[in-house]
Amino acid sequence: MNKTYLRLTVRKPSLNAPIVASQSDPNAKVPVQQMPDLRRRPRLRELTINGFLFLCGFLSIFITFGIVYELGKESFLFFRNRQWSSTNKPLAADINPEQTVFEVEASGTPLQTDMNYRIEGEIIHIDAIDGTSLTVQRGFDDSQPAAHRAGLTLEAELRPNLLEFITGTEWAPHNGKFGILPLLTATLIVSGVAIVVAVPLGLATAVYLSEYASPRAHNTLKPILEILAGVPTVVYGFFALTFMTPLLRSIFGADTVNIYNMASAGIVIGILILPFVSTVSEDALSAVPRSLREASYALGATRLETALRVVVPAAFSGIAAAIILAASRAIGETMVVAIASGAGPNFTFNPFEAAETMTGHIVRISGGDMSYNSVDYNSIFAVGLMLFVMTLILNVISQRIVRRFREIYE
Amino acid sequence: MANSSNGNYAIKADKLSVYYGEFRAVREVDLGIEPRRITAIIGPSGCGKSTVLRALKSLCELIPSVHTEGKVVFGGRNIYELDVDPVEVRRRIGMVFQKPNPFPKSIYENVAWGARINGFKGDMDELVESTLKSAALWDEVHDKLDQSGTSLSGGQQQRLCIARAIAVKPDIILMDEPCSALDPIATLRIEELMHDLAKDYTIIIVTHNMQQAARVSDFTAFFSLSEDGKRAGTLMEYGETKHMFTRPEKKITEDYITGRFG
Amino acid sequence: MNRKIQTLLALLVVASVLLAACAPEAEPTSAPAESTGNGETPTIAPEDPAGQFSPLNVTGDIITAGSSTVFPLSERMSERFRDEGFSGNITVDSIGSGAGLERFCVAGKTDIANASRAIHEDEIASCESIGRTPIEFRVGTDALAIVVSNENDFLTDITMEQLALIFSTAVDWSDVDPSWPNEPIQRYSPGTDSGTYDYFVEEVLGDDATLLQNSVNTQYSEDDNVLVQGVLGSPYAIGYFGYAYYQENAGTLKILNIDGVEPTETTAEDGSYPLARPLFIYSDATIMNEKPQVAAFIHFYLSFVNEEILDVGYFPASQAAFDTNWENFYNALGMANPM
Repeated sequence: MNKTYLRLTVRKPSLNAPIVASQSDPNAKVPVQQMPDLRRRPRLRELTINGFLFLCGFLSIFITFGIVYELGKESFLFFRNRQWSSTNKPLAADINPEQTVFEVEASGTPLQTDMNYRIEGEIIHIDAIDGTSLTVQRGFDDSQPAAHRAGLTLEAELRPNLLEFITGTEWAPHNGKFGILPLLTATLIVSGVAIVVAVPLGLATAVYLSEYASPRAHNTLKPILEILAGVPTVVYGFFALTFMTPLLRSIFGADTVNIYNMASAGIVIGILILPFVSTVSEDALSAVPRSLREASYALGATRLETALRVVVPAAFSGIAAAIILAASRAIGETMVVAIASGAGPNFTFNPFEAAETMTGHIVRISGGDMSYNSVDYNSIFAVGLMLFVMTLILNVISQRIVRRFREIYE
Repeated sequence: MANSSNGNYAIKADKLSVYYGEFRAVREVDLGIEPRRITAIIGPSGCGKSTVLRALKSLCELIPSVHTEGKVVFGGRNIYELDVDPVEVRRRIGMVFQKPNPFPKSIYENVAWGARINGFKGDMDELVESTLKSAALWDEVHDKLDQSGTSLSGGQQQRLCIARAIAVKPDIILMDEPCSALDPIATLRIEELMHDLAKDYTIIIVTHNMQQAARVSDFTAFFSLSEDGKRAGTLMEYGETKHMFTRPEKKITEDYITGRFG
Repeated sequence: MNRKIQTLLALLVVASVLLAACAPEAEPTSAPAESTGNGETPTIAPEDPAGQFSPLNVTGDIITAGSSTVFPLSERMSERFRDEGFSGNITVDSIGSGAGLERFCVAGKTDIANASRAIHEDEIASCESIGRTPIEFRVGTDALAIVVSNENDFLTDITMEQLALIFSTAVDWSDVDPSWPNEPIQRYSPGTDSGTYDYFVEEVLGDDATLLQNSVNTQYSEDDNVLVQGVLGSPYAIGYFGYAYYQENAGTLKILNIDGVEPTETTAEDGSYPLARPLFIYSDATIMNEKPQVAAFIHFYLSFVNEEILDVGYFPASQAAFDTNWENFYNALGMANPM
């Protein structure tokens, strides 16, 4: 830095040299021929800004990798480590470290033989249960047998595994049920409904704006659509619960449509992502050169034929990218589903039933005063990773489509 | 206006003026086009050649600020009358543009599309084949009809665009500087093709290239700015090509074709 | 440029007004004093001639956290404490009984823990390990309300056994009682972190949380209004939450008698209503001595809570409980009980 600066200051006089020379020597008849200064100049400002821009880019990539790493690590630990869940079953009396037969209270979750339980730091293995009397192996899995006081509760060992995670249809981590399918289907149904709503509407809007609207209508409508994208999602959530749900219930009957249901959340998310579909699609449509439209009109095509059969196919890659981006937005949408779609895992394909999506589950579990290291808390990282994988796949597909179908117009 | 017509025009402009907003780009043009002949429209840049061409097929009105005055008589009707369907006019008058602009669809679809939207009911494969043969493109593309039209070379793309235009069996083909983006060999092929097509079609070609106009056309219309250079879109001289290129009637025409301006 | 921004802003305002118009209107709150019938319990405050506990004479921070059930009560008392001249800060966090006691006993970060259950032995142990001895003050009684929609025409009375079935293995109502409709039960429960949930699981399900967790069609929410909305939504829905939330929606919800006992002040007080639970605040003698504002707040709380509690939606604690409270209070401060 210092060195370049010095070179900068040294060079300056040489620039002024010819002028100084001609002034100091007024008698010179022929001006001295000056060679242009072609030396490479250090451009400090350029370099600094360059570096800053690089840092910004690097930072965002670094943060992304950091998030993925953290998510991956926690999920890995979730599947590798054993998890513990309270049974609410307390010891009936104090026990000493050698004692292998002891009593527990009748309340709490029933215990099972051949399972591991934890009391404070010690792991015990239950060999037999007779009423409230347990026969156990103490100090299991290299833990230290210790004395425990009456009233301490046993925690059951849970072993989540990846296969069950992907194929299981029940999600109750607290009880050792780790099937993500109920959350996954709910997510897919809600986003599916949203896409079904947003794509036709958004595409129609885009075609109207790009092919039909007068400049005046275009300049009025587009900012309004963009405002739609700026409405806080929590407002959409209450819109779903207090407007869309009653509407659906009045159409399909209150017995069919649950007060919390996926359809209502899906439709409203569809409205929420509509601006994404329409503005990005409209950009793609507008990028189709006028010459293609003229070619179509020149063949005797009507406006509609031109719009739907020439312009839309020509903008296919942009439109597909818009739809997929909107889909990943729908999958990741949290507030609307948290408010309107239901707050309990439910393995169903009926959009009128309540079911909790992955995002809704994460926000509900993390919203309570869940203590760290509880099984519910650890499980939400696995759900988050699943969510990340889904949106990643969608983004990869979107990239592929854009690359495969992109037409380059000058 | 010199004119060797027999009075039976394929299309005729009658006191045609075209305005872009306030600006009059074409002023009171009278131009009768001979059927099954090639008519070249020449003139310096900005003189309104392309605008005249577009006005002949109701393409101008797609631009919101444009309006026309006067008449264009085609098929016995003024195409600017309210009850004339511009879509139908455009279908009967084909057009080839300055830059090749095939649809980003397959070669086959590029040819078939126009026919399809116009309700063609016959054998599409046959139509595509015969059209591509007429456009002298069949031999080069017959084994890759499902490839995208945009994958062809520039000259091939332009012939594809000509095929696309003739597939809907128009009465007239308008060409707006069809060779300006092509190399000399591709240009030659297009010119040969125009000669062949002139047996069946009336062709109007706008060109910047004096030699091209002299080579391909039967009639030439010379458009220019007015003598004072202030008003665009005036038809200066119109007549048989060999006549105009040997003995132009006006000084300004002579100056232009001998390269003294423009 | 400016004009454009103005237009945009105007559009935004219009849009938000439109959306606000769609938002739910607040349900009119029925006056709780009327629904509970009995008049206010007379205030039982010992005299404080030196003004030692007057909100005007103390200042500093008072940090409280805990049960979401006790929260509205503590919030009300802290508001009133401020209104009467307290110049320091009082925070009341609603984080659940367990978390509140953890913050008090493990982290040691709060002065007062709010709890809707008695402190557990292991929590007392944690407290002692950081040098705190929790002192218990009973401030009232909460009853859990088991509610169905007013449109439900087959339920008015329910047994604890039926309730256990409904919130565990039963799928359809007819699984519980063949005379009930053959419709799926829609369950609404407070979230698994809430004291209300813990209390329900403990009282109704024998502390076996897996029973409720494994039930189908169960919606959980920490937001009691979500539960109210859910129960209102269908005649086949059932839910439970604090009595206060029932009172706010008494017009549209139907509260069930349990084992033939109607939830009222009397039945909650005398414990004959099976789902009544005590409300506590916990503090510690050292804190009360070192931070006179905490002692003053507890003094104020105990003195005036009965003027507010019915309004908040709970039942006052018995006279005997208050006698114990004052005993504990003056013991902690090493003073003679003036009562």
